[in-house]
Amino acid sequence: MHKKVKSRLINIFLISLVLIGVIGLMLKNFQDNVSFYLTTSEALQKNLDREFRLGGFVKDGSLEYRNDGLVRFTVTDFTNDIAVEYKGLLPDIFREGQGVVAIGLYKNKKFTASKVLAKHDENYVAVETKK
Amino acid sequence: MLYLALFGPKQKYEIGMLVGKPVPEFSLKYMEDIGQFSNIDLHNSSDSYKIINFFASWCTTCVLEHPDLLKLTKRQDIEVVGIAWRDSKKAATDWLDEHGNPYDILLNDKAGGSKFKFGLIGVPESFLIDSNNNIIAHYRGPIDLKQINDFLDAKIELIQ
Amino acid sequence: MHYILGNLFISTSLVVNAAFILRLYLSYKKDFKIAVFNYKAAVFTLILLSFLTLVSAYINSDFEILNVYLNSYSEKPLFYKISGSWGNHEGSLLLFILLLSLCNLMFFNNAGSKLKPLLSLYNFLIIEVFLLFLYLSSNPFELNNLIVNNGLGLNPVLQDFALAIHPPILYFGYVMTALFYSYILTLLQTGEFNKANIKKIESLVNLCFIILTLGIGLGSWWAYRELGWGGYWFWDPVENLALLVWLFVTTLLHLVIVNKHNSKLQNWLIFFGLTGFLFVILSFFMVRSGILTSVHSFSADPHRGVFLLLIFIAFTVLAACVVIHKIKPVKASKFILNRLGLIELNNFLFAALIIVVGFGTIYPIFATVFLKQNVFIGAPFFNKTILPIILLMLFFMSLLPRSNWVGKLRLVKSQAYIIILALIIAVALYFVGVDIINVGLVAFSLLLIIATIKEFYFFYKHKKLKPNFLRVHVGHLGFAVFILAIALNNISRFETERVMRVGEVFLHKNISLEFLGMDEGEMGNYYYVRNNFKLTIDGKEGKLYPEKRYYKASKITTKETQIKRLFFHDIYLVVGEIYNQDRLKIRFIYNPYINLLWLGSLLLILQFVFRREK
Repeated sequence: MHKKVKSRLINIFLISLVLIGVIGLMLKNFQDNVSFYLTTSEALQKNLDREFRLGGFVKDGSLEYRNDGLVRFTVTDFTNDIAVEYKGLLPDIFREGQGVVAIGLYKNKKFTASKVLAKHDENYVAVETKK
Repeated sequence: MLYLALFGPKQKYEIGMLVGKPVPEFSLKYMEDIGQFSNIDLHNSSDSYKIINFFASWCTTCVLEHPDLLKLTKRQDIEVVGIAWRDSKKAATDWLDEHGNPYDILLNDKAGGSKFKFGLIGVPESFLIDSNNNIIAHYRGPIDLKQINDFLDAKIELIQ
Repeated sequence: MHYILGNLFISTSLVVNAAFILRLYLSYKKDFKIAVFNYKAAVFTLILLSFLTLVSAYINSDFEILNVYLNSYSEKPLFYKISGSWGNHEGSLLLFILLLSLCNLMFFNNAGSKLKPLLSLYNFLIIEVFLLFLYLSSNPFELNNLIVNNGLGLNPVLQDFALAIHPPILYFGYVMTALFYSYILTLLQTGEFNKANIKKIESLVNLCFIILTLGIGLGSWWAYRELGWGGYWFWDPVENLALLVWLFVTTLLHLVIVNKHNSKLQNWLIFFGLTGFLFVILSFFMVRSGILTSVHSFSADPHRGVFLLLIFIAFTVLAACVVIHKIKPVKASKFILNRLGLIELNNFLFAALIIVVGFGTIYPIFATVFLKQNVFIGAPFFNKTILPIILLMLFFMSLLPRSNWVGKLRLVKSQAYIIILALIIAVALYFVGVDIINVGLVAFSLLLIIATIKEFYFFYKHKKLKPNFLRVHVGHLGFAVFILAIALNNISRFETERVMRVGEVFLHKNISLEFLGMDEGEMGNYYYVRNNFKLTIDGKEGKLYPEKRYYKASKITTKETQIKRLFFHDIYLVVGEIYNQDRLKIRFIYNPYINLLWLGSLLLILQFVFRREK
C-alpha cells in the first residue's frame, strides 16, 4: 500500500513538473511573441513602440508607386488614417479599397511596414476559400 | 511590342499588315474646324492607349458597334479617336447627335484617302495603338470590347 | 437530374444506414450473426453513387447545382473540375463520409465474431452522424436559384496538382482515426483489450501516420512552390490543426508499438487512440464554423459550428462513458530507463508539443471571443517554445539503439564519442556566430543521425538488417534529417527584395543575377509579362523566367515563381511590381538545404516500404 502510494505520488510529481515546465516555457515566450491586430483608430490611441499588425482598408487614391521601389498608401478604418511606407513586394490581390494588414512599426506619424498582406491573405494568396 | 493573337471563334480581326508597325502618316481636319490633326499629334495625347475608329453615318454595322465605343470611352486609360470616313460633316454630326458621341478627338476624312494609308476595306474598322504609336491590333468590323477591356485591365494589373 | 439523383442517393444512404445500425444493435444484443460485410458494401455503394453524382455534376458543368456554380466554370480543365468537387465545404464533407465508408469496408473484416458487430456498429454510427450533418446543413446538391451562363469558380491559384490531391490524402488519414476510436471502444466494451488485439492495428496506425505525413508534406510543398514566400510552414491555424492530428497519431503509433511488449502505458494508448478522432471533429468545428480567421476556413456558418460542436460533445461523452466504466487501472511499476522508459519519456514530450501547438492555435480564438482582443501568435512563439522539446526528443531518440525492452541502457564508449562530437560541432558553430537555437538543432539532429548511421553499419556488418529495424531507424533518420535541414536552412538562408533595372546585376556570394529584360504576350486564358534573368553560379549560366500573369476570366493577377533547383539548395525568384517596362521589383531567395528537408520528409514516408515482420 505504502509503495503504491509512493509511486503514485512520484508519478504525480513528475507530471506536474513537466506541466509546469511546459507552461512556464510557453508563458515566457508568449509575452514577447504575441502581436496585436489594431485598427488605425486603436493604433493612434495606443501608440505602441513595438511591432504590431495594422488592419484596415487601403484608402482610394492613396496608392503611390515610386520608381525606387518604395510604395506609399494610406490605411483607413473610415474614422482615422495612417500613412504607410513599404519597400517589399505587394500581394497580388492588394488594391485600393480592399482590406489590408500591414506588419511593422508606427513612428513619427508614419507606419513602416516590413510585410504587407491583403485581407484573408495570412501568407496565402487564395481569393477563394479552400482547405 | 504586344501582339494580340486571337485564338477564338470570333475571328473578327486579323493580324493585318500594319499590326506591329507605327501608325502611318496622316493628317486630317478636325470635324469642328479647329485645324489639322496628324499622326504626330497622337504622341502628344495624354493617355497611353488610343483607338482609331473609322465610321460613317451611312454604315449600318457602325450602329451595332457604337454602344461598345460609348462604354469604352468611359475608361480613363484609353483615348478614342473617331474618323468619319467618306461622310459629310452634317451627316456625321447629326448621326453622332442621335447615337451619342464617344470620341475624345473627332476627325473628318470626307475624301476617304485614309483607305490607302490604313489599308481599309470598309467601315467600321479600328486600330488599337500603344503608347509608342504602334498598332497593336486591327479590327475589321466592330471592335471586340471584351478583348480590349481584358487587354487594358491586364496592362493596369501587370505594369504599375 | 443531378439534383434528383444526388439527393436520392444521400437520403437513401441515411435511411439504409440507420436501418443497418438498428439491425446491428439487435444482432449485438441478441447475439445472432449477420453478414456485416454486405451491409458495409451496400452503404459504401450508396455513398459512392452520391459522390460520383457530384463529380458528374462538375464534369458536366451542371450549374443548376449551387455547389457547382460557386466552385467551377465550364472552361476549367477536366482534372480540376473533378478536384473542384472536393475543394469546398459540402463536397469535401461528402468525400470524408465516402472515405469513412470505404475504410469501414476495407478494414477489420477479420475482426472476429466477438468484436465485429459492435465495431461495425460504431463505424456505422459515425457515418450516420456525419451523413445527417451533411443532409441537414451542408447538402452539396442544393439547387441554384439563379439562371446563369457559367460558374464562379475561376481562381487559377487553386488549379495545381499537389493542391488538388492533398485534401483526399489528408482526409484518408483523418478518417482512419475514426477506425481507431471505434476499435478501442469496442475492445473496452467487450473486455477484449489486450496486447494481441492492439498489435493487430499496428500496421493500420503506421499507415495512418504515413498518409498524414504525405498529406501535410504535399500541402507544404505546394505552399513553397506557389505562394511566393519561399517558406514551407507558416503556423497557420489550419496547418497547426493538421499537425496536431499528426502528433496524436504519431504518439498513438509509439504507444501501440510499446504495448506489444508491455501494457504499462495502455491507458495512455486508450487516451490517444480516442482523442485523435475527437480532435479531428474539433478541428472540423474550428475550420468550418468560421471561428478561425485563417484563409483556409470555409465561409462562416454558425449553425454548422453549433452542429459540429454538438457532434464533438456527443462522441466525447460516449467515449468518456465507456472509458470510465471499463477502464482498468494499470499496476504501477518503477520507471526504468529501457526502451519502454524512453518512449514513456517521449510521450510526455509529445504531450508537451500538443499542448504548445494547441495553445498557440486556440488562444487567438479564445482572446477574440472572451477577451475582445485581436491577437496574432506567430512563428517566433512556436519555434522558441518547441525547441527544447524537440532537442530532448532527438536526444532520447538517439539513445534508442542502445536500448532494449527489458534491462537498462547499454551505454558504450562510442555513444560518449558521438555526444562529444556533437558538442564540438555545437561549440564550433556557436563561435562562428550561429545563434543558439540553430546550434542546438544542428547538434542534436546530428547526434541522432550519427547514432542511427552507426547502428545501420553495425547491423549491416553482422547481416542483421531486418525490416522492423530498418523501418524504425529510417523513420527516425528522416526526422533527424528534416530537423537538420531546417536548422541549416535557417543559418544560411538569404532573402532580399529590391528593384532591378534592365542590365543590372545583383551579386550574392558566388551567385550573380542579371535582369535581361521582359516580354509581354498572351497565352490562352491569360496575359503575361515574362521577365528574363540570367543566373550565374560559379561560372555556370542558366536562365530564369518568373512571370506575372493576368487571367482574363477571373481577373486575377498571379506571380509565377521560378525555382532553380541545385542539388540541395534552391534559388527562388519572384517578380513583384513592374515599372515602365525597364525596371521591376524582385524577391530573391537563396534557400539552402531546402531539398534536404523534402528528403527527410520522404524518408519518414518511405519507412513504409519495409514491411512488418509477422
